[in-house]
Amino acid sequence: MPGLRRDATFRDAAGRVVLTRWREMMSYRDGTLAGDDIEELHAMRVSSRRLRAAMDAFAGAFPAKTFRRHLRVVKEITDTLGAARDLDVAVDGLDAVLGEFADHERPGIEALAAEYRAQRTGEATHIAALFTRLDEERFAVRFERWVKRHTGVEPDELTTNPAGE
Amino acid sequence: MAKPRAITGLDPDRRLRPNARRILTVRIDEVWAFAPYVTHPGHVRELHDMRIACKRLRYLLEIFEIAFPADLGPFIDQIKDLQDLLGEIHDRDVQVPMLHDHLERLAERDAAAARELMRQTGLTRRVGLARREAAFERFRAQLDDAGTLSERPGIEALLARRTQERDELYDRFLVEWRRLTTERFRRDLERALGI
Repeated sequence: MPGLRRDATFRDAAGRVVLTRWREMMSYRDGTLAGDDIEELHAMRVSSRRLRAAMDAFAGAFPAKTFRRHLRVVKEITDTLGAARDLDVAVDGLDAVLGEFADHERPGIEALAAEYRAQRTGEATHIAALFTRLDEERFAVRFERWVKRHTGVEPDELTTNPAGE
Repeated sequence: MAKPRAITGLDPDRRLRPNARRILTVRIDEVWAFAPYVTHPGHVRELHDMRIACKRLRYLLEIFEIAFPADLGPFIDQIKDLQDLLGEIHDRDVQVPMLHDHLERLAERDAAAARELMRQTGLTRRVGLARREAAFERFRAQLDDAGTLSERPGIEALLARRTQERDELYDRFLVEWRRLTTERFRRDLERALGI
């Protein structure tokens, strides 16, 4: 965790951990939107869960009202990615076992995989719509400012002092 | 999904460790609160909630480990293993009802297709015996053709497999959970955190 020290205050740790997790999650945004590699979306979803865990842990460093508002958006990201991820896993799981089934059993499994793939295409639209909205709301900039305001941690410090622990 | 319990008594301007200790105390309690329920395979919701509680605890240990002198790595690994097993169980608990629903939809679709076939082959019309028998033979031939392409056998086989996997995964979870209990995992974790 960049710049996080064992003797840090809770407030300083809150800023460093939440901002690091936030940036980690957003680093997968373009890959997720491109949709060429299902692991990008998976990594973004896992990062969003880590961010939520960090926000839950450090909730005490932020005012309750604005904390709830920001957490709600992060949760929306997790949930939106979750629906797509579940379908990716389902299709992957079916493809992986298809060869182990008898010939007369395969049409059913192939048809189910095709149904999931069609649903997955719809989920990509939801993901794109969510990120367009967040861009319009300038949520990324506002999120980082909010963390800085309540913890005193400058977002740019995280990249200039990556091995500060 | 069970919401995390609120943590009281935190002081953001104090050091990380005492605050982390207070948070972890509650999150450890949350995992073990499911102990009375998870020894029954039918407690699907509790198993799922325990997975979420394990995940929260694991992520927090990863965040806070820098604040503690003890090596928390082995504890984190154990909790991750438990969480992964519970995750595999949860996947089956989601998939099995979905496959049952899918089979129901297939049954409805097959029934509608059969009705349409009966209509097309003239079985529903009032005709003479010879024509009715000929129509029935055509109906049966088309139904046999459709049967070879049926989706049901595959879904039924998949359902049987996922159900068996769920049973096996649950047995593995139970062995793992009992081992952690026997080895006093919780006591050791709390000692490492100074709780």
